[in-house]
Amino acid sequence: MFKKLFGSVMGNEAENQAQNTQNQHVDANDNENDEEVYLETEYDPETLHGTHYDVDDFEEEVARLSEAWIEQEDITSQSEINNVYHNYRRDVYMAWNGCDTDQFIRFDNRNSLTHHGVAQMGNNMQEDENNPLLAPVHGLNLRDYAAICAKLGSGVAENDIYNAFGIDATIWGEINTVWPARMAEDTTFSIAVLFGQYFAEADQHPKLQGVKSNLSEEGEANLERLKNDVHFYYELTGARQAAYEYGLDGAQWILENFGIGLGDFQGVAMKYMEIQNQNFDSNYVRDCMAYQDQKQAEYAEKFAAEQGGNIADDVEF
Amino acid sequence: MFGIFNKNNTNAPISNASEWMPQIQENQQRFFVFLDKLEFKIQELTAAAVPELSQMRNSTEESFKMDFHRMKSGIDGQLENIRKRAYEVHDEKVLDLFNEIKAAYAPQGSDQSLLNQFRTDCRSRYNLFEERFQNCKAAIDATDFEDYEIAYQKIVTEYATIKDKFQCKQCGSPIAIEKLFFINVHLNCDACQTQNTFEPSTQARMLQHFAQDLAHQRAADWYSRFQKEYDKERFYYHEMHPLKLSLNFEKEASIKAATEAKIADLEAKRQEAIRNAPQFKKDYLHKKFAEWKNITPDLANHLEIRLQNELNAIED
Repeated sequence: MFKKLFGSVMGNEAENQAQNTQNQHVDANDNENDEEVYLETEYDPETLHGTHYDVDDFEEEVARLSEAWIEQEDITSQSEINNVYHNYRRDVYMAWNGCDTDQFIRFDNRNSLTHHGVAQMGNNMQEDENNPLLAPVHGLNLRDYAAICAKLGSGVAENDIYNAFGIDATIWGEINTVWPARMAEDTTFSIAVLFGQYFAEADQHPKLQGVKSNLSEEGEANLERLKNDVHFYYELTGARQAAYEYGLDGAQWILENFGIGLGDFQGVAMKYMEIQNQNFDSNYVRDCMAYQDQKQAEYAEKFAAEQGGNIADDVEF
Repeated sequence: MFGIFNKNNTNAPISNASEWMPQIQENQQRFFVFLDKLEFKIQELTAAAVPELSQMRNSTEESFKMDFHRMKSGIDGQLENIRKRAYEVHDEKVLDLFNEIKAAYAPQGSDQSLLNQFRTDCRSRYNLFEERFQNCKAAIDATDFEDYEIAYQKIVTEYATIKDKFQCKQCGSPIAIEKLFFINVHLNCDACQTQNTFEPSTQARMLQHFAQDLAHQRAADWYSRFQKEYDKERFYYHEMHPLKLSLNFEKEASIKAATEAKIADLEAKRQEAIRNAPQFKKDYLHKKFAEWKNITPDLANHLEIRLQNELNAIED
């Protein structure tokens, strides 16, 4: 009965005004179903669908509305058809769950592969063992490859890393050609997302435990802080960007001033991206970006001062 | 008696323009001068930077090429800094002022027109700044150009000189380098079976990284053909739009008929462009990937998969 109630919200003639009418209809029916309306929605932890309806019913409703609109507007382009489905999926999801757009975004991110055919960071993706693009290359799998990439970006001696994995520079050359080629062939972006996940966990790879890190004590401390202090991460990201904008090698500047190499830094970046996608919250994202912008502006002032100011500093209104 | 014929009492709104006109005139003048000065700076910067950047980009030294990217980032940063200043001043000294006056004085009739004109004129001048900014940005971006045929020819020439010069580290027998390698390769000596490692030069290693750029360069005419066709759809659409609008008010039957005929003609051309563009894109892709396979034949199978992916992504 519950899903039929909300189903009827979408099932009227003015489907093209679904977004406007849905709220009115929900309000109108409030009095009849006080109990259900005030219950907090429970979401399936995997799919993020509400547990009070069948997913099949949901898909059916989205398809019904979408196909009607597609027929009415005589839409033939596949990308436009996908767009119609996306919009109705959002409308039905938000109506059936009584949620905000952030919750919808979390739901859409979680089901990105099914909805849009592309994988996204933050979904703890599992490998499909039948995917030929994931077959090991010279005995090294994608996790190994990501770990080596991350470590190479940290300034550790190349041969130390190759030896830890039982390869040499020649084998690495092939591996480093094949894996990027596979990522380029993969239209679902799954290989790239998995690479990102493994890159973020590179320092936990068993074969790297014996490889000496070449970070200074200060670098180790700053890296640890980077992993746990999100403000520090956004400050350094902003600082790095400001450095580039003042003609410096930003990654080098971070290494010289904070002792953190690019590989380690980007590993942390991957981790934060995963977390942000998993718990998508637009207010939080906006605050982080504002903080990064603020820090970028502060560092830009410092760099400008070091270089004798900006070119148009002497132009006043 | 009722003051009906009293022409002086017309209930016309009292103009308060004298209270705010001087301010908008001053701000407008200062804003124009401000933009003039900023434009002088960006043009001066661009004129100085372009030759230097071009020289660095095409330097034979790899380190100078890296310096190019850093320097260009710095120049781009300065341009953005100037652009941001123009935006902020427009926001504060034009738009904020406009809104303050509107809220405080609620100008009507011709006063309202005056205030709107201030905003419009400043906006037009700001758009002109943006246009000039984009021209400078395009000139700076254009320095990031390399003729990849030159880089490729250097690699091919180098290969010709080294292909018969590689020797076994153990017994000294010659080992032929049968093709252009861009990564290390193990080669066995026919004489003593020792495994040798052939290590390509730095410039040869770059081949797989600029191969796509070179392939695109060789297919540039095809790409240009596709782009021109693609742009036609919007061009014809914008040509039709005012004609369609004019029909709303046209009462003269013969003019209506002539306009409708023009619209039909433009629509036919627009539809033809819509049909052609996907095919032209496919033509370009076929050409580009054929060249790409020529440059790095070892990657031919992989490149074929990528070509098919790109072709499948095109909607007909």
